[in-house]
This record gives sequence, structure tokens and C-alpha cells, in this order.
Amino acid sequence: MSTRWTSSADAVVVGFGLTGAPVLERLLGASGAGDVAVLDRGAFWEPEGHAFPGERSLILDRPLTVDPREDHVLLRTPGAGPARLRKWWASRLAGGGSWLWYGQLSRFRPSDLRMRSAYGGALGPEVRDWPIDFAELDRAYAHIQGRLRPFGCAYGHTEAAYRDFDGGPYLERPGPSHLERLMVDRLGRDGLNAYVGQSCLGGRAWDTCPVSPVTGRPAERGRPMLARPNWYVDLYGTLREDPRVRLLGGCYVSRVLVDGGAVQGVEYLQRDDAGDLRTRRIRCGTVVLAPGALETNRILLSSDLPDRNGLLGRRFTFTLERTAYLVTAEPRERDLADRLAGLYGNVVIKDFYDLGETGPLRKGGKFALYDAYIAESPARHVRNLRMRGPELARFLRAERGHYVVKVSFKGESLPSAGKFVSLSARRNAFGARVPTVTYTPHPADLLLQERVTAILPRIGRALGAVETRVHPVPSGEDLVSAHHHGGAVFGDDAAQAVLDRDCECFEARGLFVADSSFMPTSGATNSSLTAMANAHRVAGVVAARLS
Amino acid sequence: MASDDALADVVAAVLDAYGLPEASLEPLAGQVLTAARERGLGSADLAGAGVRGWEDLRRVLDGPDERARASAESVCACVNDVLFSSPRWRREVGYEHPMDELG
Repeated sequence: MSTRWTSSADAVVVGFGLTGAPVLERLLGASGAGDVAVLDRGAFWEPEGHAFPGERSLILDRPLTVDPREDHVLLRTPGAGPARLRKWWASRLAGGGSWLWYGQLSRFRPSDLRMRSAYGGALGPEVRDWPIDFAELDRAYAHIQGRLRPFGCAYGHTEAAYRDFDGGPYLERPGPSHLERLMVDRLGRDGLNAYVGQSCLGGRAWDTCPVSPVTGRPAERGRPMLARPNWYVDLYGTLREDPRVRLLGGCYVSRVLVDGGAVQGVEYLQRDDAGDLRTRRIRCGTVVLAPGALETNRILLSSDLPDRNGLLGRRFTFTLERTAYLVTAEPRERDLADRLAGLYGNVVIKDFYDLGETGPLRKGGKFALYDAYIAESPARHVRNLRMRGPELARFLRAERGHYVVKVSFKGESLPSAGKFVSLSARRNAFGARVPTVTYTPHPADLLLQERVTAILPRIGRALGAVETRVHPVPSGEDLVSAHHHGGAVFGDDAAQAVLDRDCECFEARGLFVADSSFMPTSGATNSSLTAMANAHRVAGVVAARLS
Repeated sequence: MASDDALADVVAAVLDAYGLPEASLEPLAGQVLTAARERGLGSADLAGAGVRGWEDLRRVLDGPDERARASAESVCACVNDVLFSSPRWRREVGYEHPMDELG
């Protein structure tokens, strides 16, 4: 039966979020893209009183355009039946149903791309090198950071070393604060290489962050994003005026249509005015998937790909997470710089694994330390503390007078045969099969968590903490992260990878993946900057193809 | 209804732990009960638990009955969400946030 197309385009980009935005910027900066359709789950709308679409979605407890009850992901962990995978953030950047948004911008290191070379086969056959040189990523990092202009403060590093670690350029923000200076100095005396890191968009948890990170002036209520330098706002404005672009909101992509080893188009569902779902199909020879790794895996598994080597959905990982709260004896300062640092700053310990430790796995992760009392909105802070009753009341009283430092660990999670995405028999409200993430920790993940268990008290001692509360290693339903990677990894060999080095699908030419699904290994730090940098790199290939 | 009474008892037990001013208890409890019902939280699982204060509730939270524990945890989370999402209630509980005065 012949396919009924409802429209056509030169290219379709799925997802206008972290990685869709750099793709569109580069695609439309080149010739050849005369007609680009952008499909997003959210709505490209302008709610009354709000100047940026999706702005309300940055506020927790407001409904997403696609209701989480209509669409969810299952998580299966050792010894437990499938449960719903919890969303880390119920937030969107520009209209979508995003699972994360960028707060801390941190570069991968060259060693993050060479795990196989470093360890041979000791970590299992699923662990493989990236097929590109770090220099290719480095160039893309520079471009993305130039666009995002994160807020930074080089305290703890020389300027040059800071740029080498986390890149540049960045906007100098006031600081270091009293607490940041104190933490960096004390950790340094204990031999832990700490510095003040970079962050972006401002407010890792105060989704309606009410002050500018530069001036400290309160932002207009209800328009938090406009108070900050924001590349997305500008880009959205540009795209909206560009006659080559069609921004299509409220679209649930069901599959990519493939025939004869080449992409033919995209099928998606959209509600009509009566609320009924309608199936639509755009005919096109180029599709770029950038909806996030979970969505990309679902779409690819639902598509017409032969998956000859059984690789789709495989090597899916989360970044390892761990949390501790340290109550210090240091009286809390009340000045503005301190509050702003709580919102926008974080002290980073990035290379603890290079401190002469021995063992089979010398890689590790990154600790971010910040003032939890300021950084987390009160309701979320209380949820995160995992305390109740009188114990909670006592803790909250203590932190009003003294600094409480949250230590958030992000670590390398290695791919293994026990980590993958598949489709369950269950159907969601769109008639699509619900994805299931099966997640069995790699032995090295557990080893790394053991080390973290030992390091967190060390950090507490270095900071003179009077109380150190280390949360247990996440398991079961708590095994959740905002950082999803893999499932459609890239490589040089079609027998070992879903995508080639340009992130074009081996089994469907013209189908590109620009989100974090491409990552063969997850790196030892936050991954959003790397995902965006690669999206910029991939978009260069797509733009050249269209030209 | 027994389950509604049990829900109110559990809410009262959680609020009791925060040492709130007497005058705040009733309006806050009312707001929490509304939010709990909106979330579909019932406490049929807690109806027989006899919660009459924080110590009773703590026994449920630490106890072996998984359904009762899950219900109690959900109610605790709901109380905290209502209490700490509102600058007004934060003031009442003595937890003014530094950003409140800036926003």
C-alpha cells in the first residue's frame, strides 16, 4: 500500500530543545535548507502574559502539553518489576517535553572518549571508543559555549587552566562568594582540586529564579527567562520569522519511515480542534532526531529499521548519581553575592580519580558543591533532604544560621549487556508502545559508588562539617538521572554501531541523530554541553548534504 | 468516612512535628487535605493504624506494612509540598527563604 503523505519538506528536525536548537541554527545558516519542518511535543504558543513559549513549563507543577499520564517510560531494575521512570525535571526549554535542561556546563576530557583504549576488554565488549578525535569535539564546544555564555568565576584556577577545564568564553559573575572561597581553599588544603565552575540559564532548581545573575536585580515576575541572556530566546525569535521554517507544536512522533535503506519521511500524531488524534506524514529525505535519548530510542525502535545486528536500544546509560548534605559550622552570610552564588555557582571537584588512587578503574566523575538552602527551591529542597517530622524541622532550623552544602556527584556509568531500552507490550495514550529501560549496574558502577561513599565523608571533614548525611546508593525506583545516553551509538563499524561517525544511521541514509543517544560512553561529568557540541558538529554534515 | 478521618489524622500528625502556631493549623490542614484529595491520596491503608500524633506516624513510616508506609510517605510529601511551596506558610513555620525577600 502506498504511503499517504500530508506534506513534504527538505528536512525535518524532531525536537527543539538542547540539541535541536544548535542543529537548526547551523542548518539555517547554510544554503540548501529551503523548507525545514520542526516537530516538537510541546506547543509553540504564546500564553497570555508570557513572552516566551513554554516559559510556564519551567515552573513545576504546571501541566506539560503532553501530559505525563499520557506518555511515560518504564524502568526495570534488578529484583524489581517495571515501575514508572521518574522525571528529574518536569521542564521544557522551548515547548517540548524535555527530560532535562542545562544548568552546569562541563566539558568531557579526551580520556572520556577512549575508555576501550585505556582498559582494553576488561570492562566488557560494550565499552568502545568514540570514532572521532577530541579536537573535533573541542571546536564544537567553543562554538556552543560562545553561544550560551555561561556564568563563571575562575577562582581555584588560573584563567588558562579554567578555560582548559570547562572552556570559554564565559560571563564573569560576581564572586567568589564567601562560601565558595571557603570551600575551594579548604578542599585545596586537603589535596582536592576544587574550583568555581560554570553554569547557565541560572538557577539549577529555582525554576522561576527571580534575580539576574549579573545585576542581582529582581526579574519581572512571570518572565524569568527574559531576565537573563538567553540564546534560545533569540533563536526562537529568528526561527519564527524565517520563511523557510515551519514550527509545528503538539506533535507526537510515532516513527520514521524508511524504505530501501533510506529515510522517506516522518509520521506523527497531532490533535485536531476537536481533540481527536490525527496521523500526519511529512515526506522528506533528511530527518534529524533531537528529542532526547529516551524519545529517540522509542522512535527508532518503532520505525521501519531492520536492526540487523540487534543494536537498537543497546548500550543505554544514565550518569551515576549520588548526593550528600553537609552541615557546616560556618555562619551564613547575608550579602547578595552569596545568594547569587547559591543560585548560579558551584564549586567543582572534577578529577578526583587522578589523585593517585589505584585499582582497575581510575576514572570517576565530578562533584558539584553548592549552597542547597539557596539553590534548591524550598519545596524541592525538603523533598531532596529525605527527612521528616522533628528531624526535618531541626535540620531546617540549623541551615538558616549555617551553611549547608549539597554535594552532587555525577559519575561515569558504563554500558553493559544489562542496560538497554526495549518496547513493552503496554500502549500509551498515543497508541505507541511504552519504552522500558532495563538497568543493571555494571560492576564498575558499583565500584565507583564505593569510592564515592569514602570520598564524601572526606569532603565533609575537609569542610569542617558538623554533620554529613550521605544518601544511599540509588537503586530501584530511585535509580534515575537527568542524563540519558546511548541506545543508538556511533562508530566506524556497521556491525557494532547504529550510527556512523557523522551520526547518520547505517540502515537509513538521511536519518541523523543529534541528541545524546549517539554516546558510546557517558563521560564522567554532566553531558548536556557535549550533546549540544556534537549536535553542532552533526548539523555541519547535514547542512553540507542539503547544499 | 473512616479513611477521610484517617487522612486528617495523618496530616495533623505531620503538622504537629513542625511546631506551628495554633492559629495556622486549621487553615493549613484544610489546604493540605484539599491537595491530598486532588492527588488522589486516600488513606484507607492507614484507617486501622490509629495515628494520633507524630510518634504513631513514625511507627507506620518505619513499620513493615508496605502499603501503609507508602500511603504515609505520600501524605508526608503532600504536607511538605503545600507547606514549603508557599512563602506565607514558610513564614509560619519559621523557614523564611532568603530569596523570598528578593522575589
